[in-house]
Amino acid sequence: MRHFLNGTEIAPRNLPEIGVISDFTDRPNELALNVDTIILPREAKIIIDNHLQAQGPFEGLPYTVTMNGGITLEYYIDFLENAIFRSHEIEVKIKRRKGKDQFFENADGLTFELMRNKGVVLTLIDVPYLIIKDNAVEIAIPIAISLYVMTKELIQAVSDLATATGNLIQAVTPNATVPPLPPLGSIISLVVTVIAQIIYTALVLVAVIKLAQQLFDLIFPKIRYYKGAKVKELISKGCQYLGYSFQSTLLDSISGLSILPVPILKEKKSIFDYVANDLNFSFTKGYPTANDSTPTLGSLITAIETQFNAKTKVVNGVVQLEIRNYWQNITPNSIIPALALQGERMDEYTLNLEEAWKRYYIHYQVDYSDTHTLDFYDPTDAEYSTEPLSPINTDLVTIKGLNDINVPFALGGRKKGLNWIEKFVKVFFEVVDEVTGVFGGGTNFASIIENRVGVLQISSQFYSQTKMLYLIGGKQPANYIDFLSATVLWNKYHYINQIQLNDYKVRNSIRTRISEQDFVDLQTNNFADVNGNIVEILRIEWLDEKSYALISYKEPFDYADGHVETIKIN
Amino acid sequence: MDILEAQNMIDGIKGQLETLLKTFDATLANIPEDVKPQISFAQADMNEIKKAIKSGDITKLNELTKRYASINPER
Repeated sequence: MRHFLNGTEIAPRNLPEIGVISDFTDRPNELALNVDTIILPREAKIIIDNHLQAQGPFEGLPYTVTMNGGITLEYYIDFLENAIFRSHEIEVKIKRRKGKDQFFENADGLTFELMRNKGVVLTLIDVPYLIIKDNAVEIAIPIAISLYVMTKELIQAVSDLATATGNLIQAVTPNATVPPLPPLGSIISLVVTVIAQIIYTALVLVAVIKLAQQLFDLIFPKIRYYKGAKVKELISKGCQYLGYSFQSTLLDSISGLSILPVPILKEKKSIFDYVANDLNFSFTKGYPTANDSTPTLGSLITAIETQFNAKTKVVNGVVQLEIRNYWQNITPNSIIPALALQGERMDEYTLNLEEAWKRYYIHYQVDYSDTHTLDFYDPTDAEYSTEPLSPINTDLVTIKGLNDINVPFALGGRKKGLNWIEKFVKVFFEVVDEVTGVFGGGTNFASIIENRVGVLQISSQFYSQTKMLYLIGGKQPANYIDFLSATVLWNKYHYINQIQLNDYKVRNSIRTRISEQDFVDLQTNNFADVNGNIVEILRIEWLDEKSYALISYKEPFDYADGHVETIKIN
Repeated sequence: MDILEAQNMIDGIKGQLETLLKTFDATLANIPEDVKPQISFAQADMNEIKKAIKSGDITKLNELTKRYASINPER
């Protein structure tokens, strides 16, 4: 290995001890030196002193390690990590440049609000919604009263009209015994009376129409729109902002996955001062903000990892987010490890029993500000249990542990059909449509009620949990639950965590000879073929000066098959 | 009154109203020819009323109401 500090070759004082460790089991330490620090004397110290004088300690300094075969690992010195300054040398920590460590440190601090302020253009989606409250009875009472009053008035008006018309007919109908017609004045008088009565009836009708219109607007405010965003759009633009590109076959396969942030908007009309139809603007910004469960790029990626049993890799400036076994099926790597205990020429391994669990609970959030999340609770959670198949002593069964998959979103309800109050009122408005149609034209309230099906339904203007939706053209399709429900999350993504499907031998610190190229390849995909089995590399410590590596890996081993089963208990 | 009763009643009103309007039109048509010119205003005003209902024009209906209130058929 050769070391370069900002392009100048240098020799760290502790060079012979330096190896490189890749740890794939935990996010912050994917690639690091096997020593805590590097010690830089002489010209390296001068370069650092100059840098600190010019830029201060808040900007890292490029540090490049090259290996045989032209392999380059890009690092940077992070002066914020316990740098120690001495008279003739400096001790610093280095981190992978544009590697996973740096990406997540930046992503955790990158808010979508900041991106927007910096001019990043996010493609937002208009999400139609209706507020369907749980006070239907309160709404029904005034409707019933209005219905009674209007019906009564119409009956009276038509009755009077009938009388007037009857009088007119009687007046103009020829009578055999009496000279043909009554006086002209009487006929005109009766015609006037009939028309006057028609006008009165018409006035009642117009009043009915106008009252119905006002009632309709209050009971059925028009569909309004929140702004939301696709998950892939948010993550992709966030990565782009940090200088990375983003790939995810997982998110490509669930392209409708969208986030509806909580309504939080400053300088807007108050819902207490205006009726709903006058509040014709989005109450959400479209991207998650500080009040959402995923205000930063890092927290959103973590949430998606949790929800979909996924992992994120950052390799050469590309962020990949995939279900955790994705790389297993596409690895080109192959390595030949030695026996665990070289001295005794013996094998040694442990079992990954820490990954076994008794309960597996996948759940979304419920939102007490949006009672639809409680009213339609069915897709919100799913619970599974690992049960022994044929225990001899049940008190000695040691399966334990809760695997809590806490998805930090609430689901959004879809308006599947008309509820009872809408059906109730729809009949009334159908009648209004018919009566107003007597004079030609008329209203069409009933069809507007019918058009409300399929949109997002919430129980109040403001809700408190960030929502996850599956949107096609702004609306959730009838089968949106097939993409989002907790049971579907298990069936598609989490079932691989059953210990019967996830049982492995774990071998630790196995010495093996790998080339520098193998080492670099394993950074991209930490699965490899070992003796015909695809194993997952958990950790590699590569010692350049000693020309070998110590690897820890998981190898398939069916120790749980036939002994336990997973049952769905909720 | 429940919703079905109300619906039936309003349906009934609608039928009655339609019949009455047709009857009124027919009555006007059957009035002797020598009287017709004297009540030609009736058909014209009926058209005005229908237009006003379609457009929800209460002002127009109020105008017509005032006009009819001022008519003295005895003259």
